[in-house]
Amino acid sequence: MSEIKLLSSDQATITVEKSVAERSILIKNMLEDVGEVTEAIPIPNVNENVLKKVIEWCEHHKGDPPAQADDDSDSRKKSSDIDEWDQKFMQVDQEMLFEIILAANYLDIKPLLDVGCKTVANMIKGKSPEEIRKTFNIQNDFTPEEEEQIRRENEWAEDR
Amino acid sequence: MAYKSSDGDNHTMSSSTYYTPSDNFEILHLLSFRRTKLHDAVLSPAKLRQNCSLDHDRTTLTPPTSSTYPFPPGLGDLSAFLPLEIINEILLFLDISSLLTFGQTNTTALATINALPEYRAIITHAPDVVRAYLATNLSSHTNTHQVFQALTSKLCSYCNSFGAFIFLLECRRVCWHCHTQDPELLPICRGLAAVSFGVSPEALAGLPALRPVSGTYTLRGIHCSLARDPTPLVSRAAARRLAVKIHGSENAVGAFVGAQRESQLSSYRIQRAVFNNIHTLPYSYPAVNNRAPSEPTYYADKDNKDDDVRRYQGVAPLPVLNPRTGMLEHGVCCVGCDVAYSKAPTVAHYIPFGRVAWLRRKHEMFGEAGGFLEHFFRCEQARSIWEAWKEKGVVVPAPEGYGGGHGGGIEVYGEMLGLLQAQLTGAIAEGIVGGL
Repeated sequence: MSEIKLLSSDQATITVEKSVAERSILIKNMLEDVGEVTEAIPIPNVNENVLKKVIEWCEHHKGDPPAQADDDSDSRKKSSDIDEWDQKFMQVDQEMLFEIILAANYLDIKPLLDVGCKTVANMIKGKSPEEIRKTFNIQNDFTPEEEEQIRRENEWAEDR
Repeated sequence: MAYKSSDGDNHTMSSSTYYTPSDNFEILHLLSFRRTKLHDAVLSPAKLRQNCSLDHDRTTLTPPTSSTYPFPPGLGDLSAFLPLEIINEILLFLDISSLLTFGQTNTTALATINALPEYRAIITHAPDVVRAYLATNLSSHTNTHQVFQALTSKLCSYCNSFGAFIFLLECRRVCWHCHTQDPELLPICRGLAAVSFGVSPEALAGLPALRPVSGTYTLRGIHCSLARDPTPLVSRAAARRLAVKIHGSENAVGAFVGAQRESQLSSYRIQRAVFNNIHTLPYSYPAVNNRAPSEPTYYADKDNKDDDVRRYQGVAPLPVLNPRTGMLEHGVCCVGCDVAYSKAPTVAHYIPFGRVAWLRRKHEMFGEAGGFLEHFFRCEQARSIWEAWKEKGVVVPAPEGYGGGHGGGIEVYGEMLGLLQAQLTGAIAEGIVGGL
């Protein structure tokens, strides 16, 4: 069981099992290209806290079957439910959540990216426009009339 | 595509060379028509459009691109942290209802959802499906990605023939035949689902439930006006999945339902025995209720197949979109088949196939791009009309002429074809002839 070192953007070195780090397609491809490395691999876009968090996720999910390349993408979108451990894992503040999503995107860890996106989607689901604005600090630039009009257009008007 | 004739006269025409591309176009033009009746029998586009404007002409707002994004006022924290690609990923996980609500937050959000490729394809090519989801109250159970998958699929997901409709509860493409005949595709009320699958009504409350919309359904035009709170309908497949989850396996569900029925029956048998005992006595007790207990009805799903309004309340037309070419196929019927299976059927008409198969042939639809031509080579009726037309060199009449009754239509001669023509003019009066 070989280990590799990762160097975060704030110059912290983190040692991690190779198989765990290879959940990241970016690192996996990199290791395939350069072969054996002894020095730390720089991950310039991700800071230590986020990198640790991402590695925590990878460690928990190291036994998962690798995602199939293409036919998986259909079923992937179908369910919006997140497994319990992931839900707990994602109970972080909004900034951290976005950082994890960005890191997952950069490191190319598709399942983690999906979990992150689903978490954000769940923050939007079932809310009113006003609640969504509050959640994400979205500034409203509709006039009340415009807003009312759009709301009505998106509704079914049953004739009675 | 080789031309093969069953009566062996294929020496008169050699396979593919006979049908030039322009012939193919003419075949499609002449021998196919859109049977709009079918679209009006389900959640009809006209009604959907009238009751839900879904006016997305607002797409005049500049859609965000990587260079202009985020333009003011932006999407708050979302656009402060995340690139547009990831926001699009997030939006794909939203159900239709939440997606539309998100679009109501501000102009950037509205422009962002309108520019989401999947949503854009749906709203451009099949806005009626979004309307249907809003109408049936299912919009919070279906996400954009699923609808996009259904829109870009081509075949009925139950029988693999060309399908031009969507079964809203499962968000899957269906063909006319499965939609009107498949027992699985009959939406049922929660009470019936509870009895048929042995689950509590409370457990069923979480399933997506379709709110029926009043309107005119089925080919016979059954009008259905609904109470203020119409009974919601659930999908049998979803109820079954839930039951299997609760009871463990399909067999366990069957056993449980069987046992429930058995306990009902045994208590009935006791009541019946008591009743019989009393009423076989030489005298009767005046105080005793004289009515025999009736056998408890088994809530077998009464399924009226193609006349069952419930089947039509959860189905909407859905064209086929080829995402690569952007080509849309609405599905056409074959004039030849319509001639063969059009007239009011007597038992004699049914004999070769049975009623259901007869209906299936009559209402079979094909894709305009290729699917119809493939059928044409198999359909003797259509070929004979085409050949007669070709031999006599009759000019293709304008499509408008087809609806005009006598005088319009294809002029074909000969004993058999003369007869066909009479049927044909009647048959095509109900639809618009012509494919593309």
